[in-house]
Amino acid sequence: MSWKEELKPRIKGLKFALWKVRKQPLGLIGLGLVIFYSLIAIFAPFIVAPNYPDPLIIPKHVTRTPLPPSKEHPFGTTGPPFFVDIYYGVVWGTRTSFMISISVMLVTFVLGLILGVTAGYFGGKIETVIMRITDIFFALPGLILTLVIISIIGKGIGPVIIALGARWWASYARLFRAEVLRIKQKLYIEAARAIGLSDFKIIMNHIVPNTISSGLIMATLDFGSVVMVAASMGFLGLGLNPGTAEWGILLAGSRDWIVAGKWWISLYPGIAISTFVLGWNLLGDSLRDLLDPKTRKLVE
Amino acid sequence: MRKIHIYAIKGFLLSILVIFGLSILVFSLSRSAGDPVAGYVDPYTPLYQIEQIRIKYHLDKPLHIQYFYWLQAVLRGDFGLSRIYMYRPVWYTIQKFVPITIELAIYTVLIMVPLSLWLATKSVKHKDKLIDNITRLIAIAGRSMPSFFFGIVLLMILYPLKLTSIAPIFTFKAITNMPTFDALLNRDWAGFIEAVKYLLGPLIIQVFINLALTMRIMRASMLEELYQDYVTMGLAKGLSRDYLLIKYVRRNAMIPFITLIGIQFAYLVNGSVISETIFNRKGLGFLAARAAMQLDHPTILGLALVLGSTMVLTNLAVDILYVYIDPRLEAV
Repeated sequence: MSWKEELKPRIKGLKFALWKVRKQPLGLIGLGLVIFYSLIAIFAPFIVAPNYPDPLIIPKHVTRTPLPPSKEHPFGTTGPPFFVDIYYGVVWGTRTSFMISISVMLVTFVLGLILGVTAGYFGGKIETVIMRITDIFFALPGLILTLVIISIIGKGIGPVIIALGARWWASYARLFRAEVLRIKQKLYIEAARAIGLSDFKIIMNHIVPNTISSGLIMATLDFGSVVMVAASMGFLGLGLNPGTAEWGILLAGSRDWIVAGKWWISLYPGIAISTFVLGWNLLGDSLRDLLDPKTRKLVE
Repeated sequence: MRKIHIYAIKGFLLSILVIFGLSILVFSLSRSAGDPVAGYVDPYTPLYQIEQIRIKYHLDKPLHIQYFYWLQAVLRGDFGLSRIYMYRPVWYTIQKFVPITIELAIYTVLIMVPLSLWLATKSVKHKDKLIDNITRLIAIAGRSMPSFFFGIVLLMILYPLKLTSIAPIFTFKAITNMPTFDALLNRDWAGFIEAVKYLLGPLIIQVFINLALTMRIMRASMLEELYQDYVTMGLAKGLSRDYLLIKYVRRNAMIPFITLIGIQFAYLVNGSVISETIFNRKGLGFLAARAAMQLDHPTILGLALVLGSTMVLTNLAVDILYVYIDPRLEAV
């Protein structure tokens, strides 16, 4: 069988999903926002000239008070303590957000997939151990766990990814385990076993492909939340280093200026992050409605 | 023994196991934060003294033995000293900050529960009409708007109106350590207004964030109940739609809602990290953020252990309550 024929049902499903997305206005808005921010992230160097040598560090504009939006600084500047141009920060912050979220999602997805599938497929002691470890990670409120880990391993992009990964992997492990338990009982798995396929083959060819879609839906829903938590860390002064183009850091200095009526420092980064998260949430919601076979019937 | 008792005991044992695991996690994090001796010495301490300290606190033993000494101390309530709070014991510091967050939690639940019940009932009654779409909008906004941005916008509104008090001074006698209750108990009306201002900002943030979830869950749960046979039967019997909705559907839909509130109550500290930091309210969230920022490891780790254990036990209590409220589950 050629690969085209093999993938036929999947392509058909995808086409159906795309057709349904077009029928959902909210999902479409979400998709639009996601595409919009992706374009900004890709074409950032053409929107604002990159800073040399590290484009993710915002060029400084030292003034005693924040400058209001003007021709030179379309979104104004932050003034002390960071002295940065907000327009540059918002545009390049899109890149930072994508970078953080994609890395965190890759790490948690792969880790969750490996552990969840192992636990679900083999069961027994291995399952108990893995699932009890996820319980421990679920015992802590997410933000507190992130705070604890960051305060111990330090600031910077690597630690932020690790801390967020530690907060998220457990829910993927749980999801994939539950999916595997559901699929394991299907007749085709039993058939695969009966004809003597190895465990590895069964997992790779029959179990993983069938669990991926619900994982992807959850990843879409979490994509925005990761950025939101990373920005919360930046806001608290615990995320990336100050001066990096990241939305939370831009907002961090703004609290003290609110009192003086300097509204632009918080407004633009705040709108950027809210609409970014909104886009992913709307897209994720409609994908869940479409790709989840249980609710798909309701849509049809 | 009834099934519910077995269930409760099993759950309790499992919770102990999870808390034990949590303590191992916290212990390993605390050891990876650096040599624990560093907390007791300065660069001028002679080497032999460092060794003496190491022996005195059992830090010369292998890690798993150190863990049991550490666990013993923790069980006695000794989490070390809190650097950001004048080197008082961590346990004392946590106790100082707890009432402020509990006060916030009490008011949040008091406002959120009736409000989300009311909004959910309205939006079920007028499904896909204006009010339903408004609640949908609130829910989407609550999920997408970061709490720190919402908090800053709120500060922008409340501060010029003089509706928030960032550094209040309370002159009344502390009884419960929760300012609004203390003011009432002391009949200090000016103090009460000050205490309410101290509460208002974080309270609005908490209600807004949590409302998004509780309202939608309640709505979904009511819609599910609406398609049950007893509703059709009630309608056939001639009961009015509103009567059915409030007397039957809402009551039955309440069960998942109650669980959710229980869990939300425990998660409140999570949200208070941001809201208390913005409004300078000295609760657990504020403490956690401050401790993490200033790299005060004993405080943040002690807090993690206390909060984690509380969460595990709250979840257990909610689980048991769930079976207790809904006897159908016991049969399973």
